[in-house]
Amino acid sequence: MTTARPTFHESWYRISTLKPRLGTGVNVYRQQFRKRLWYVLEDPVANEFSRISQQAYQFIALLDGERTVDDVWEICNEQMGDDALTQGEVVQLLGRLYTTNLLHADLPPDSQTLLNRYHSRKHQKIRDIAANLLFVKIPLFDPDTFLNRWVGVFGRVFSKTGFFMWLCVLMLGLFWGISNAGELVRQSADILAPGNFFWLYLSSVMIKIFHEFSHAFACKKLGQAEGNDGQVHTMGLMFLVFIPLPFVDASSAWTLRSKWHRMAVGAAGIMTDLFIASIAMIFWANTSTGTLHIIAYNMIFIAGISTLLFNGNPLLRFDAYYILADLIEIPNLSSRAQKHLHYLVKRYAWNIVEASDSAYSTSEGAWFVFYGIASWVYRIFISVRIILFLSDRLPEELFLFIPILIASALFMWIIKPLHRFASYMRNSNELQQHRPRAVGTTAAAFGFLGFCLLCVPVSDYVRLEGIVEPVDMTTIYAQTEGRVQEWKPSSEVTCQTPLVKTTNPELETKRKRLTAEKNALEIEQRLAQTKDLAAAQFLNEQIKALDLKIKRVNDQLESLDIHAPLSGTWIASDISKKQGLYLTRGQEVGFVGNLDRLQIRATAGQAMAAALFEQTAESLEIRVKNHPHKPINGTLKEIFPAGSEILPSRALGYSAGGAMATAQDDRKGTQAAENFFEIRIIPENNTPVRLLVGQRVIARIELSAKPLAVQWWTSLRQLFQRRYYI
Amino acid sequence: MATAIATRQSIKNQPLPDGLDALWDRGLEYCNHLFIRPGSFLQQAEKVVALENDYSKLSQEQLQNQAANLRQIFRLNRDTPDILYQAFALIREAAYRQLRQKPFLVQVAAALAMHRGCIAELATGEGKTLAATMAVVVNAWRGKGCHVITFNDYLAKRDAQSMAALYRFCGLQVAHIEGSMAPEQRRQAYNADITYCTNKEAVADFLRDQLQIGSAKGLPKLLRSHSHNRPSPPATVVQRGLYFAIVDEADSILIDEAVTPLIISAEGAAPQQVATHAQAAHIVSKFDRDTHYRINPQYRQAELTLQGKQQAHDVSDSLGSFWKGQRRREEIITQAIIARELYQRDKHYVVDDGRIIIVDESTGRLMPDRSWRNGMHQAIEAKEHVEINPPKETLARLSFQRFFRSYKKLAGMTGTARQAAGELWQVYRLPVVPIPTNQPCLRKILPPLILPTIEEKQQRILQEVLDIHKTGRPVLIGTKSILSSRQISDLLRQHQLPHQVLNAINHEQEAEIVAAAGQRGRITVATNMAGRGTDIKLGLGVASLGGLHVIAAEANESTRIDRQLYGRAARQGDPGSVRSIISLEDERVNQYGKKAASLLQRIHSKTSPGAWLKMAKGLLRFVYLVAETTGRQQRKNVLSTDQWLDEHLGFSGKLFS
Repeated sequence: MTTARPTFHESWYRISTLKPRLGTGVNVYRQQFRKRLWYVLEDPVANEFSRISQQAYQFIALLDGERTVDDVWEICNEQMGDDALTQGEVVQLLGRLYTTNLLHADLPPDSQTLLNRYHSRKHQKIRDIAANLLFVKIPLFDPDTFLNRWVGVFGRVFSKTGFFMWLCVLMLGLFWGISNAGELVRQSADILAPGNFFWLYLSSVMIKIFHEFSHAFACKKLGQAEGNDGQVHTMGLMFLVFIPLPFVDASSAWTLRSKWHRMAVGAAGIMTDLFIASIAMIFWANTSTGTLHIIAYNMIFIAGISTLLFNGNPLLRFDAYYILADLIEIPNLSSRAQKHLHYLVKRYAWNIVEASDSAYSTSEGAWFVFYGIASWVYRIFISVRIILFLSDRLPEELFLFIPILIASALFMWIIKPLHRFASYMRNSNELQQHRPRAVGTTAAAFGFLGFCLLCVPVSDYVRLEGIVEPVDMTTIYAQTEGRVQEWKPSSEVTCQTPLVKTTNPELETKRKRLTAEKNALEIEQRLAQTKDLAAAQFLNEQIKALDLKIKRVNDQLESLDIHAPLSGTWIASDISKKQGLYLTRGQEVGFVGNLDRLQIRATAGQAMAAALFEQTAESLEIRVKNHPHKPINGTLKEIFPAGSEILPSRALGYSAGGAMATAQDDRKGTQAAENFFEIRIIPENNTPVRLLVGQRVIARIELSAKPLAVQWWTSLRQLFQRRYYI
Repeated sequence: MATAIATRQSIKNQPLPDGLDALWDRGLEYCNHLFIRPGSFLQQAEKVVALENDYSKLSQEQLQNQAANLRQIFRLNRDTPDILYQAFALIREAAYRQLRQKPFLVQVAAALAMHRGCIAELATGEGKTLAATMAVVVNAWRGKGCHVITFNDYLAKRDAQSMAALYRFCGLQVAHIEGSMAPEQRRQAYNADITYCTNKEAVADFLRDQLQIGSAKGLPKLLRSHSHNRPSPPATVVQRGLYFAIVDEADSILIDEAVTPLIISAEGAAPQQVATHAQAAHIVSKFDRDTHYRINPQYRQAELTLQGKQQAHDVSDSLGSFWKGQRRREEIITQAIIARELYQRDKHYVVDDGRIIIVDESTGRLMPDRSWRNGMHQAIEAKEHVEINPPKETLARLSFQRFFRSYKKLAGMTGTARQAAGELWQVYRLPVVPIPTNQPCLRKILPPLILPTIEEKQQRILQEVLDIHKTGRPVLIGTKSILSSRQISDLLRQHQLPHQVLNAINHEQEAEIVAAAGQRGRITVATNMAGRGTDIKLGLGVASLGGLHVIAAEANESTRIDRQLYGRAARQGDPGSVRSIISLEDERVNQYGKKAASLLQRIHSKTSPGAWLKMAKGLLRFVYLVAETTGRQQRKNVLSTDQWLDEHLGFSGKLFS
């Protein structure tokens, strides 16, 4: 039969004569979602919740321990007609309530089944943990008494005054934040430096504790306001990407009747984060150094990131998700969105007319489609990002975790759903008549996807960071020590133009002394010529030696004035600061280069360089910061392994925000952590954007197009090769 | 090896493995397959046979005394492998003295495998009944009862009686259960050491016992009810627990028959529904096909069109409150449409003395005790304008899978288990042990013939029968349904070919006919079920002509059932041949590959015969694959539904715990 809800059920006989009723301790809460009534049943002992529809509740409410299930079913049919539950639905409903221990039947409990159920649940939990290593929760203790004692104090926060104060602090924080935006960004470069890990973790634990307790107190306070106790019974440790953090289970917020209250419980955490971030901001902006300054900065960072990426993002199942679900009044948004997407496939791709839809209205359906797709894409994206981030930054010893993480993610996101899908395709009764079409369309879809991944070439590129330099360039060093007297600002110069004038009084004195000595010797010599010829000869030699000395000093004095060795542009970036400073011998002063012919010295790690060696570059674009729409073309001149591990410029290293890892003990920030390749690129003439010498640019080298699968496989192999040298 | 035995104890409430567990389970099965080899059983059997002389020397009395001693040892669970060999050797000698049959080496090996809790795959005609006796005796000696599950009542009686002398010699009582027995007789039969019965009787008795015991099941509950001074359950139960069972024709009983659960029902009282069915039949009588409703014959479904829905709404305005709800209204009208369009009188049911009686489609037997469920029976009664009985109320329901899983120890024997080994392991934890034949098999399997239409198939079958008949060889034509056996019988009659038709209605007579089907020049038309468990012994001189020729005239649910039929030819080293002749219009092909079949029919004349046959064979393979998968899935669903209900409706009292 094609009836969607058949009235009868073959197992009805098993329950028809029973007289069950709701367990005595069960609390019932009435809620409204999208103009529909729902009832939440709560078993306060086991902390179990079940949300049932109005029809289901009417059925349950009629079960008083006196009427049989059959009687109640008849009554419901009489009263509600088509809306009444069918026998099958009653079987499902009572079964569900029984397994969540909400139903009390007048029969001795079946201890064996209860025990089995307990065991299977425990196993399920362990399996969940094993399958999802990135997010593990371990409950530890019950904070309810603590909350009850302190809710009088902390609960006051959840009031109009509290909100107003929160807003004021937030505004202040925002003000300081905006006025120090530049410094804020600058300091973020150091946040992931190994030395900062401890502070980062400490700050996140502190923030998390406040965050979780604000959920708990909000739940408690608003629960009490509504007349139920707002119980919070579980607190423990959560391992988020292996990092232990505290958590509190405030799921009893579910039973709050007002959706605004439920949303407030959900939002409490984020609001606290922002509050802490604001205070930290004010503190940070008004201190300059010290441990507290660093902690404050870390707090700002953690609160900001966690709010933006996780808790404040409804696409992940964190706080904002529950807030959104309450706001649009769609409970179980995520799972129902998935079901709705399945439904759409079943109904329209496979033409299963009798498929049941989880959306009650078109607007719900629209939400489901949007949310289902967006959250799925985002979750995969964030997982990949986390894994990539870790693979980049985890120390070698911990790198073993990466394959485990990848396997776990693959299992969760790909293998498990695929396996479930395959067994659904094979076994589902629903598909009985539609299997050929379902299998056909699925095979076609997967075939298309596979074709796209395996056969359709997609442009591949590498991005390199480089530094702009003139091809012909002479670095100017101070040849003699001296104090800077005059200097020429950066400008076009011709050969022999004086660039810097320095003085060295010591040398002057030395010359004077030597000249005086020479004069003395000359007089002596003249005297000796008359008396002792041999002595005069000797003095003559001495004078010659002195002449040489004087000449050397003169040369030195001459070189105090530095001249341009060739025509070009004289660039001395911080010469103005050197006025009056003492230049040591060999110190770099600036350089003169020919700016008409520039080149880019880019650096690349082994993996990128390998790609460049193996394939020819199809085209090459250079992008300059702030000018994203004006790419400069260029040609790749040569690639060679850099002999030393010194980067062409500090700007390319981690320490200055570049992409190359630098050695940790290197103060100057130019010592690369591993061997690298240098790539010389010649930009086209007449660039649309003027390239400045010393500027950091991005070179985007287009390689021959390859299918995505090949590209991913290569990157994965490189990731492992880099770490294991396989 | 130990795993097979160890896991048996605990599978009663174990869910079917799923996901990765299923993979792990497959691995276990494979390991079992590696360790439990027929070779090891054959080696052990040789040890048994080597003891032959020790026992043949003994006098009758000495032998019986020895049996009594062994019985004590087994009752006290003090047996060792050596004692087991001695026991087997003794039973072997006893069988020779009492029945004049001495089990062969392979039969001993099969019995050892069964004692281990395996399914012994013995080629047809190798003497399964005799082989089982050794495992049966040894386990009956334990004193906890031993069930031998047979395919039908006749076989239960026949086997119990033919082996009775041996069992008595070993100091054991033997009894069998028949459908007509009263509870008191049944109890006595179950109290015997060895009980031969059919699967249906065993499950029905078990369920009736459970109903008797009521809600006070399980030790804790029993204690509670005692502590409340409630009367203890009445002592009218007939069974005494499920300890050991050997299942004959294990694949048929454990797999083919396990699709539908057994239901015990009683007359119910729901008077208001009776009238609505009559009203629905009346409304539907004014409906037209394709205007008011559409029919999907392939899946036996009906669907109301918009116009039909509208009319149903209009007509039912004046009727009672039941008709107000759209869903229930359309449901009952759809049911009436299905009753009218898809249930045919004399095919699906007969009207006998104002009563609707269901006809079993596969066997053609009348099933007066059965009724369709969920109002379908009433809809048909309304259609036929007979008195509408209130729907029967289900009292208890149990799948065969669950029943057999609750035996402490289970074993089986059959000729065709290998193809079902995976399922037998997954569901029952029974490993399959193929035992080699005593004599080499001389069966010739001729290339199958596939024909585009039923008419051509029948002509071809006739041709084949005529060809073989001329040589004097006996022919057996196996059909799936009663209808096709009748058609072939008609065809043979038109050509004045004398033949016998068997429809699995009267087992006893049919067994005799089948036993005689090997006589020279005989032609027998039989459904698959008819005469199972009976050997077709070749008549005088038939072997030299080439033995029995079997024609499989229809595509079955699985290749395993084909093999069951093939096994009728060439038993015990006799010659024989088999050919299947199938048309693309056969029911099975229609059900799973209708479109491809009709395409093949159309291109039949345009393609070369060789290429066409290749394609048709491919289609047939596909049809078998789909049919087998569907069947397996259905059976799995039966079991998992059972388990879901037990877990979720635990408060209603489990059927047994």
